[in-house]
Amino acid sequence: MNRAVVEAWLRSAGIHAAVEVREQQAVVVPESGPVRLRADQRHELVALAHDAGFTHISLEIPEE
Amino acid sequence: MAVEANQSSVAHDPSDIPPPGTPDLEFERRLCEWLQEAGSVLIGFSGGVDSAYLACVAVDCLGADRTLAVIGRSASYPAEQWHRARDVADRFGIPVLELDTSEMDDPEYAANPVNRCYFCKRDLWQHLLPVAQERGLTVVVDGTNADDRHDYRPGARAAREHGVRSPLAELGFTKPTIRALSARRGIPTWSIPSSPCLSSRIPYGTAVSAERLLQVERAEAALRALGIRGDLRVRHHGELARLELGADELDVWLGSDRTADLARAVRQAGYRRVAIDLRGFRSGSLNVMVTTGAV
Repeated sequence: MNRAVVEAWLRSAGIHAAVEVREQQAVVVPESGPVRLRADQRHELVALAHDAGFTHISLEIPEE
Repeated sequence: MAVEANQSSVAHDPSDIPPPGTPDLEFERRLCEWLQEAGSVLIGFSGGVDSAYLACVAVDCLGADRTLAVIGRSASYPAEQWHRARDVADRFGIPVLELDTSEMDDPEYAANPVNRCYFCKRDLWQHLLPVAQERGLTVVVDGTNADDRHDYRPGARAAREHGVRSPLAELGFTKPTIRALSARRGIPTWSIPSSPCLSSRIPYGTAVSAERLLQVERAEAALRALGIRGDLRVRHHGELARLELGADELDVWLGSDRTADLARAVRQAGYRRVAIDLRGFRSGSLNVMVTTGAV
C-alpha cells in the first residue's frame, strides 16, 4: 500500500489532510475543518487508492 | 431489543433501486407449482425482500394452514427489520412464529471468523427444524435467490446440511425479478435496500457482541432519521465508524456542508471518530479484506 501516492494527490488538489493507514484501509484525516469533495474528485481518489493497494478509502469528518 | 419509535416505516424509495420492470409471471407460476409439490412449508422469515416475497406467494398458493413464517430474533436482527416483517405478515395474512435464537452464545460465532454466517444459520436451522417436525410442515425453505450464489455465503452450507431448500435460487429468481414480482403484488418490501444482519458490519476477526451490534443499530437508525433512504451500512472499526452510502446520496452529502450532522448522529451512538467511505456502499464490503488476505 502506497500512502505517499494518496498524500501527493491530496496536496495537488489543495486538500490539507494526512492519510492514516488501518490494515488495508486509508483514512483521510483533514488537518483543519471539514473537506468537501466533488464527485469527480471522489472518483479520482477512489481509483488512485485502489491502484495504491488499499481496499477502502474514507474521509474522516472532524469534530466541530 | 431496542425498538426505535421512528423506525417503523416500511417503504423506502431509494433512488438507486430501479423502478420494477415488467415481471415475468412464468417465474411465479413455477414457484407456486414448486410449493404445491412441497405440500407445506416453514419459511425462515427475516422480512427482507426475498423471504417476504416467498412468504406471500406461499400463503397464496398453499393457504395459511400450510405455511408458517418463522422469525429468528437476536441482537443481530435489526428492530427496523422486525417491524417490517411483522407489517408484511399482518398485511398478507402470513402466520408467524417468533423464536429467540442463540448464535450470540456460540463462541465460534462470537469470534467472528470469515464463516461466521455458517454458525448463525446452523443455530437458526437447529431451532427451526424441530418446529417444522412438530407442526407437520414438510419442507423448510429460505429466501436465498439466484444472485446470492455468486457471493461469498458460508451460511448456505448450514442450509444444505439441514436439508433446507431455496426455491427462489433453484428456480432462477434474480433480485430484480423478485423486486418486480413483489411490486406487482403490492408487497412494500419491493423497493427496500438489501438488509443483512448487523454482524455484517463488524470486520471478521473482531468479536461480535450485543453491545457492538446495538451501537451499529443506533448509528444506522440515527442516520435514517436524518433522511438517508437508500443503501446504508455503518462499518464498525473500533472507535471509528466508516459510513457506506449509496452513490447518489454519497455525492449529495459530500458536496454539502451537512456532513457534521452525519458525524454528530453517529457519535451519539458511541463512536469517537466518523469517516465516510469514498467508494460508497458495497455489498459484502468487508469480504474484500478476506479475498485480499487482510484477514
